[in-house]
Amino acid sequence: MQKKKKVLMERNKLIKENLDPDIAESVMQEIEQKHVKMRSPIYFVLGSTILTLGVICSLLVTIYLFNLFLYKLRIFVPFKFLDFGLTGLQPFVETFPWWHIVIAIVAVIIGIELLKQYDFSYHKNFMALILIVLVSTVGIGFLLDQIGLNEIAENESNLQVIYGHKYKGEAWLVGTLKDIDYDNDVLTIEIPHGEEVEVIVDNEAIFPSGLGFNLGTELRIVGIWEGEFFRAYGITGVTRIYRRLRINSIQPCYGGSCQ
Amino acid sequence: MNTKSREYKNLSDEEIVKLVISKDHNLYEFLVRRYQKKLLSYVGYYIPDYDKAADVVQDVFIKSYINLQGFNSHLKFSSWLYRIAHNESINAIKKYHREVSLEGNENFEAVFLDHTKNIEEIFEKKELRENLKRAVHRLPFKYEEVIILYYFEEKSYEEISDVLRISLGAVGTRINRAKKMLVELYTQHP
Repeated sequence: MQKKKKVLMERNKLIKENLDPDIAESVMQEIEQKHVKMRSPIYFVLGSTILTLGVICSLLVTIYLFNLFLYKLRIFVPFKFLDFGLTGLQPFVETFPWWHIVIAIVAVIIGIELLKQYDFSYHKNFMALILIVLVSTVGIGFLLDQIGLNEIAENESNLQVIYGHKYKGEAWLVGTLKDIDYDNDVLTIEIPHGEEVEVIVDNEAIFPSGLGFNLGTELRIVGIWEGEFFRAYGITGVTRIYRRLRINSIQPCYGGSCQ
Repeated sequence: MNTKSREYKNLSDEEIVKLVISKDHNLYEFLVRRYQKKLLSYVGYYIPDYDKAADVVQDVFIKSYINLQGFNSHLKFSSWLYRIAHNESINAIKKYHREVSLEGNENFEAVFLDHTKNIEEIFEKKELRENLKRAVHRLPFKYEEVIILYYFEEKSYEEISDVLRISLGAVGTRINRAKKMLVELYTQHP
C-alpha cells in the first residue's frame, strides 16, 4: 500500500514536471506587490570593502600577535620553568603567552575564511595560497620581533596594557642576579624596572642547569614568598647567558662546596 | 509581451541583466521564463516535492532579483543563478529533511546492472536517465551534486566550478570518483 502510494506520488510529480510551470508570473507579482527592490550597488561595494578590510585586519592582527608571542617567549622563556618538573608547571602556565597565540590562530582562521569568499579562492590553488599566507604572517612576525620593535614599544607608557609584564607570581620569580651572599645563602635578584628581591636558597633547592651562573645571569626561580623574602626551591639560568659565561670561563661555585 | 519577446529573444542573459538594471525591471521576467523550467528541474533533484521545489525556485528568482546589481559580470549569469539555486536547495533540504525514495520501479536495479560496464552509455540512454536520477541520490552529497550538474544539467567543468565554488581539478576528481562509486554501488550491493 505504501509502495503504491509512492509510485502514484512519483507519477503525479512527473505529470506536473511536464507541464510548463509559470513561476515567472508569481515572481513578477511578488516583486510588484511586495515592492521588492534591488539592492543598491553601494551595498555590494561596501560589502566588498568590508571583506577586504576584514582580511587585511585579521592578517595584521595575526602578524602582530605572533610577533608579540615570540617576544614574550623571549622575555620569559617559559619552557625553562619545566626544568623544575611539576613545581615549574604553574609558573609555566602563568608565563606562557597563551592568549597571544590563541588570538593569532583565531585571526588567521578568520582571515582564511574571509579569503574563501573571493572568487579567486576556487580558481587558484587555495592550499598554496593558505601556505603563502601562513608563511608570510609567521615570517613577518618573526622579523618584527627581531628588529626590536617590541623593545621600543615596551617603553611607551600607552602600551603598558600590552607590554606590561608580570615578573613574579605566587610561586615564581624572574630576574637578574645582582649579588651573592655566600655566607647566608642569599641571592639578590633584580626584577626588571628596578625592584630587588632577596632570595633565600633552600637547603634542598635544585639547580637543573647547574650552578655555573654569575652576576648578570637571568634566573628563573620557583619557591614561596616568606614576607618580603623569597625562599627558592629551584633556580635555573637562561641557556644563552650560560653559554656566554662558560665561554668566558667564569665559573663561580655557589652553595659553598668549593669556597 | 510577444513583441517584446521577439525583441529580446536574441539577447544574452548578461545583456538582459544590464537592461533590467538600467532600463526596465519588468524585463526580469524574460530571465525568469528562460530559467524557470531548468531551475525547477535542478531543484527537483534535491526537493522531490513539486510544490516545495517551486517555492524554492521562486525564492531563488526573488533573491537573484534583489542581488542583481551585485552580479559579477565575469561569471555567466546561469552559473550565478545556479549558485543561488544550489544554496537555496541546501537550505531547503535542511528545512524539509529530504525524503528520497528509490522504490517505485521494480526493473530499476536489473536494468541498471545490465549497463554498469559503461556509465557514460547509461547517461546517454534517455530511458535510463530517470532511473539513474534515483541512483545518484544514493551517492554522498558532494558527489551527487557534481553528477547532477554534469550529466543532468549538462554543465561544463567551468560552470560546475562556479556553481559549487570548487576548483576545476576538484570537479574532475569528484566526477570520476562519483562514476566509480555509482558502478560499485550497484555491482556490490544490488
